[in-house]
Amino acid sequence: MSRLVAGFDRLVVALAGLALLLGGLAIVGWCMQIGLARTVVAHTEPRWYATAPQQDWWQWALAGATVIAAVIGVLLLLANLRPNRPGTIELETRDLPEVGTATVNAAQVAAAAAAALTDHPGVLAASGTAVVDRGRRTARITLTAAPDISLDHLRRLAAETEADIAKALDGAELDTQFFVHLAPVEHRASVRG
Amino acid sequence: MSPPVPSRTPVVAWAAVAVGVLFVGAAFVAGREFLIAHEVITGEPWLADLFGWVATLSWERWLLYAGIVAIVLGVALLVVAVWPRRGTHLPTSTTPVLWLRATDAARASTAAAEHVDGVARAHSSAGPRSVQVHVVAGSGESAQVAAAVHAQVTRALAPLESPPSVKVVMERGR
Repeated sequence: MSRLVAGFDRLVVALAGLALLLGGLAIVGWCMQIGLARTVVAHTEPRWYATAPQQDWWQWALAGATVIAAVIGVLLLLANLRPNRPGTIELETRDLPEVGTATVNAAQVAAAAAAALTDHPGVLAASGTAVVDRGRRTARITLTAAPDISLDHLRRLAAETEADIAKALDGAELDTQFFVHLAPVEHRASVRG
Repeated sequence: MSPPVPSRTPVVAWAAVAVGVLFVGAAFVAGREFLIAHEVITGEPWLADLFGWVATLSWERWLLYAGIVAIVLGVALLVVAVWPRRGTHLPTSTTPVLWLRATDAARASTAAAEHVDGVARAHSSAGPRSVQVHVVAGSGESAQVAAAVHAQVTRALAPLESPPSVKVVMERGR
């Protein structure tokens, strides 16, 4: 999720919350006969509501509400539900004009790097995927290792993998992030798991 | 620059999706009413009827309840709007950074403890700032075993950026 979307979400949700809060306070204030709320409500003329649909502006208000609500609603849904994948990355081919352009799929690079990690003893499984997180293309590699493996050993493997990815992409920008999952400990001579 | 700290999708995103669905619904109702007003389609004018109903509204007890529900919901949305994203993983201070869940810190602690002489069995629980290792000693002085476990677990977790405090609890063998 990008920072822009997160900020937009927060703004819209805060405004919706504020509108509900103020509306609720006005109604409760009216019910409890609090002076200010009664003054506010007294200014809302029942006849105004009754005649509003017959006014000239009614149709314009409907059209405006339709467009504004549709734009905000569709933006919110698209921004939050659209998959957040970087897709392909263009490689630097300036020194090789005969090649034209070359692209690689970021998710496949991450998956291949993860697959190579499983060759190492102590690494039980590994998977790779690519996401755009807060505006940065990131290869996420999750490796599952034996619980007694040293973190320093895993760090060396991660450094090798990171170098492999950098070499494969030849300077194209893709961050790497390593998530370590450790397998549950299998107890020696234990009576329960 | 390194990639952003892994964190779960903020709660506000789900609230925003719900608000988005409501907006799309509102657009549908208003658009439908617009077409009815222009006699493109036929049907009951829901919004005009709603306004007519509001005009006849007088004080009733359920209005108070509706107002209270609106206040509670409004405050909840405001809280959600400012609720921070929570980090989900513990980073190491190494390059490249490795991200572990608290569960993995607990498993590393258990494995480290079980490698200590005199430990028959161990299990651990971990939060972001502390790890508690429960040890069943098989042989030896329990104070010495506890100290050895503490040292071993601390060493195993040392690469973490802010290593959790380690607490060793000796349990009686069963």
